[in-house]
Amino acid sequence: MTASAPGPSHGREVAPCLLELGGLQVELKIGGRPRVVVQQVSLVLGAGQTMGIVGESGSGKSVTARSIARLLPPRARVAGEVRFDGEPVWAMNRARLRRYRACDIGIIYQDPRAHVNAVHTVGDFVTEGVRDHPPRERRDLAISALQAVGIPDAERRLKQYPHQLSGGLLQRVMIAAATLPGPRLLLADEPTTALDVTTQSEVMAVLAEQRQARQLAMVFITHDLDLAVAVTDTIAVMYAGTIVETGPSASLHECALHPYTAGLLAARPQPSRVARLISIPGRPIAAYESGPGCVFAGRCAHAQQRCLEVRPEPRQFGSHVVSCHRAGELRGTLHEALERA
Amino acid sequence: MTALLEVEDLHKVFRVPDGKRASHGLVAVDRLSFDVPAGGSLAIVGESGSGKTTTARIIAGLEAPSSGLIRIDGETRKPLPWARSERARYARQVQMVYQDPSTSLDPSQTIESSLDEVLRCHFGRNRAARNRRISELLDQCGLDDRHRRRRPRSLSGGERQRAAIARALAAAPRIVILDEAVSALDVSIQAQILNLLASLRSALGLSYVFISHDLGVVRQVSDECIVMLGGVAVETGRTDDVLTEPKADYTRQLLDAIPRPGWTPKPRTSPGHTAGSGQPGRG
Amino acid sequence: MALTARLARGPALLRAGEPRDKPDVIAVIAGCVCAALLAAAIFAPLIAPYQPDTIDATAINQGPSAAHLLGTDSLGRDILTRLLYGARLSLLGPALVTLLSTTLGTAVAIAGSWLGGTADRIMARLLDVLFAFPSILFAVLAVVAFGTGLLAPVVALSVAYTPYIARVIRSAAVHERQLPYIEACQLLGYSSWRTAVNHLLRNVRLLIVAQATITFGYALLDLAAISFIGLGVQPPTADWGVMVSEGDSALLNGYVAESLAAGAAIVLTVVAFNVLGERLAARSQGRQ
Repeated sequence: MTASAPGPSHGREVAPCLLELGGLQVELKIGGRPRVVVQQVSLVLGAGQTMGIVGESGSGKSVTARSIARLLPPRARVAGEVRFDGEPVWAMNRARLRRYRACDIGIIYQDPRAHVNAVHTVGDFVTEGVRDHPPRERRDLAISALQAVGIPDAERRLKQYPHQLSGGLLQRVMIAAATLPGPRLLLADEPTTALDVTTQSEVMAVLAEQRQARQLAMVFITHDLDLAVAVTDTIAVMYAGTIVETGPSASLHECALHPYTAGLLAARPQPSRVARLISIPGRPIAAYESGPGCVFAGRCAHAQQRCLEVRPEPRQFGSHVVSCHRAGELRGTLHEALERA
Repeated sequence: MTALLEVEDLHKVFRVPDGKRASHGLVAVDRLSFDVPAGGSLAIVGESGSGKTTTARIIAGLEAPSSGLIRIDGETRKPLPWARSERARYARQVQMVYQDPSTSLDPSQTIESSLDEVLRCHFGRNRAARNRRISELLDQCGLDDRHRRRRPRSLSGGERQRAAIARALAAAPRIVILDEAVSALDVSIQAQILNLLASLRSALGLSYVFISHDLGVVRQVSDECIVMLGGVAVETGRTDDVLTEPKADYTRQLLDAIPRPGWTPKPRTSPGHTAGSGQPGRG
Repeated sequence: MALTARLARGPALLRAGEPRDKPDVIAVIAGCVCAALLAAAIFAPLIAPYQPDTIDATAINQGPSAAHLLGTDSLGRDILTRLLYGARLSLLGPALVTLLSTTLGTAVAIAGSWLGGTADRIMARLLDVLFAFPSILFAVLAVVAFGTGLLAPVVALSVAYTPYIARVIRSAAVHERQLPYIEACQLLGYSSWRTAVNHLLRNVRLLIVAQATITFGYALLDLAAISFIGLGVQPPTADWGVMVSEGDSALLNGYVAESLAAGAAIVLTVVAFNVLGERLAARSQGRQ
């Protein structure tokens, strides 16, 4: 594993740094052949901060999240670094890794039913991370955990099975299970994508509460840029396996510096206005489908010859870090250009 | 002027088993009535269990209502089950586009073959005429010759949904039901398909019944909308009005729940009631 | 510069190529072996060095030599020739069994999964009854009833194998049946027949081919066993099962060529067809 953190990494440099990704590259076996799905991803996250990773299909956001937890298929090839509190995650031995996944980080998945064992009771599931405590204490911990996430009648729920709970409730149970052992980092991989919008609001409220109460840092993976802007401090926008832009959420929303980010913002239909939707031509690609130049060049309205040949390095522009050759000259004009188009 | 699609007092009850012997009735659609004019676009909005999908399936003729009338162009629809000729005739009036094109297209069929099959079954005609029509359909839906001989698995999500739309249009319907037709697509592709649907509607004079949970999408595509909760229409009206000045509490709740900058997630104020909240499932 | 011009050059833009799976080497090898065996059977008269019935009293129980590549049997007949001619009957029987049982099994499976409800349950119960009979027993009873030769065992085995094929095809068909594209056929106004045949059946055809290939192997074994025990094909007709049986006396005297050659031929064919069938089945599963 080579340690290579190129230039300014995405995310705010705040010491102490809880999570650090340096030049992460992941190859997975697709169609029998190894293919690059994440390339040159670097970011830092401080304690108590939230970062959203936003992308469409093929962006590599889920794979990145899984790399943080070291939950990739056994034949995956990983290069670069993932450091948790300075400790390289990919060098951990089995015992340390188990403790890391159970107690240092908490993971919340998109589909709770696929990740909760259907033959175990809710109580068993919630206390899996604290199995070393005596049974009496475990039960009390479980009850208080369920109550903390706003599940009424916690004692009864303890004995129920996952299929007896609705999707929203089950997701809350998953949050309870993930936060109970006292992790310092939450990995939320599209936790509300499968839920109705009102349920999503509830679950996000619970998540925000838990985060604040326990001072948790969070990496929030989603395809919903609006949701990410609302619930995170910083956002990293991924496309074709790389991070194309990072910046504070509000600023990203107001003034995106990368054409892809601006395109995403313009393509999203809003209930508050009727405007001609500006679509990005083509389709989102994966890392292994990109050419030698900028990964977005094939779909970018501002692409020039250089963009097709040379991959742009991430550069600092105010509070944003952008990987675009033309970021400087296009600055501030992207939104208007889209309106005019 | 009579509307193209008239739905009167549509009512649908499902029998749900209560343990081994008893069963109770679950009202999925509760006396729903609405009209869609020719060339109009109606959105039916709701969350899971609201009855919007059941309504769509009843209009599409895939399920029979427990009671109520459906009229197309003034003519009352016969009750199900239909003879083959009646079903074929209905297919030329009402079509549906499903949410997930990877399962709603026959994986073993090329795009050309799936369109050709529709044309052969409904319009006969000679091969040359069918080929011309296929080219026309592909062109209207933003596909070209490269996609003709491909199967769905070698197409992207957006291309598949275009193929599904082309297949629905091949039957030359006047009403197209879109059941969460863009929900499974990436954001950048969603916009493409929404733009496509809008242009098809004006070019071909289609009427849409657009089922969605996404209020942003609904604002883009529909003139009128119905907000459903628990099988009941809690609010109806022009989309612009409903979404800017909602009268029903639930509509306000839906709007408030949409993430936007400066938004803080709020727990539901009323004890959540959606149809099917007693059942485990989504929401 | 026009965007369209750029699009034409842009890498991977709008291009959605066929996903290239790695070719399955083992399946290809197995397929070649199967094809070679079938070719050997079909072209036997052209490639066999002798006639299968030519008795040569001077060359009894000889080992492999230049004149007889695999040696001779207890009646001086060339083993290689008998093997090649034997392939014809030894492969014809399984082919017929496969054809009949696959057709019947698929029909029952598609009908059951399409009609569902009571019809499906009745068919399932009928199949359960057939499952209860071991296939060899069926064949023995058939031979007892209808005499020796190829016909009785073929018919019996066809009936005995039908439920196995039906079960596998039915479970795949039931899975496909509830996918939206089948319902879309109804929406498009297609008849039940068209939907069941053009769409449902077509999407399980790879599995059907896989099942047929596996059935071929089992049928070969069962038919050879039936010939071996003296029912089915009778000597002096060249047939692999018969050859294994006929060679047993020579075997005891140390001349292994006949039994070994015929046995090896059976094993090779069964393995090749089974491997091919399993790989095809895996491929069809992977598609689902």
